[in-house]
Amino acid sequence: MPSSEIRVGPPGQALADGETLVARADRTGALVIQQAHARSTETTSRGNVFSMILTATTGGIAAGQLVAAAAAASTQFALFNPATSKYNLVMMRFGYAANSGTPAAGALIHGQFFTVPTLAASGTIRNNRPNGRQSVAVGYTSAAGAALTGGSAPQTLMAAGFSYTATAQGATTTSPTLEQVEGAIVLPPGTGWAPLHLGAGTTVLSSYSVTWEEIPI
Amino acid sequence: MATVELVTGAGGNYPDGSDQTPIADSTGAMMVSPAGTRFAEAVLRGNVFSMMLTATSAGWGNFHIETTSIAAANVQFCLYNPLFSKYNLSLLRFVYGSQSGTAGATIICHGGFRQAVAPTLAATTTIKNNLPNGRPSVATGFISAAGTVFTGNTTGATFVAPTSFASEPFTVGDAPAIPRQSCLEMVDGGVVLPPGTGWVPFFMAGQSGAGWLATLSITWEEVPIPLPLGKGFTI
Repeated sequence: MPSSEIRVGPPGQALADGETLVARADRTGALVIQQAHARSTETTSRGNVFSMILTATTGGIAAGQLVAAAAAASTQFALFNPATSKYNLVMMRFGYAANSGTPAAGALIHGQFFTVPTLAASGTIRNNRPNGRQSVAVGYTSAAGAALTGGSAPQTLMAAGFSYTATAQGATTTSPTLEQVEGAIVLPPGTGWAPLHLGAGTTVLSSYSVTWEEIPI
Repeated sequence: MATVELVTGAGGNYPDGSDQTPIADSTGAMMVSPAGTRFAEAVLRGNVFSMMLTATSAGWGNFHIETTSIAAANVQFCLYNPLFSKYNLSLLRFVYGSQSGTAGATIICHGGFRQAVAPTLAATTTIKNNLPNGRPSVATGFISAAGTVFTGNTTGATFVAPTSFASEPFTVGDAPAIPRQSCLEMVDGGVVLPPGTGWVPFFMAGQSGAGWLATLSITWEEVPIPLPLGKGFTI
């Protein structure tokens, strides 16, 4: 079987377009690369990236968005992968902002579900490439919260990328926050995800956003 | 031997299924386009795990603090890779979310220790696979909100020189004065635990704050160690 050969070091001068060359290696023999496009361009342009947002809640943190929430509790923002979807959902980005009120102290938590609710979808899922295909996922958004009928109790997986102290959110503290999940959370068919808070705090109004890639199984 | 040949330039608009020569930039570097997200492959193969402590309830125990007397010290959040696990643990994400109290006057560090004999303290937490219904972890996790004695820490937990964080999440000052924080460090393999070693969030002496309560979370990939045929395993 023929083996491949690459050449250590850059060329002596910058190369013009159209020149052919042997692939470049570093001094350890690793292939030297450069990103051709933005990180998510390939999968987004193929229509496999989707987003769902809830611009603002109108009630405090619902019971279903709390650590140790009961099954079918009132939920404002959650994402599920139906058992028959034939896709894995790979989480790319998660956004959260406490717009007003006083949050409970501590980090937000990524929660997992191991079953899919029977409640009809209420969230609008958009393809990050306009006019792209429909998502296979089921999303739930409710400003005031709605019972997650047929849902199970969420379990905690890991902390999210931002945290609060029990401090009233003022005009200087309301900038949205973004976590690059980068595929660290995957939802196989029959599972789901929701952000969970350590406590309801006092009259916390929130914005949520999640972006994911759908990969055929 | 066949060479891997590239052509410089921006490439074209090729149809699916066509064969093309890979492109290079003007320095000869191969141009690439990521197929997907950074961690998806490892997660989909069931090799990524997490453990977390939603809230500490006391200031930091001395297993987390630089000291000359560390044996059997109090531990609150610690990850250990057993000697015969046959895996390296590559840390991916670390979250430290301040809740209340007074923060230390400087940064938090990654603390590492060697311990060939596993601690006798039983695991105190459930480690979750980031792929639901995935395999169990080979690692051992210890969490305790108030701290518990790290029994069996017979070697005295020789700490390696900690690597300091350069990220902004861990701001100095009283925690209540920080209403909102970005608290995630993408370690991205910058810390690896071979078998017989462990990791803790670590503070230099006098820098652990006062009653500094926090949420903690650590996520890692378990990477199999290739063993030569017929060879035993040593560290």
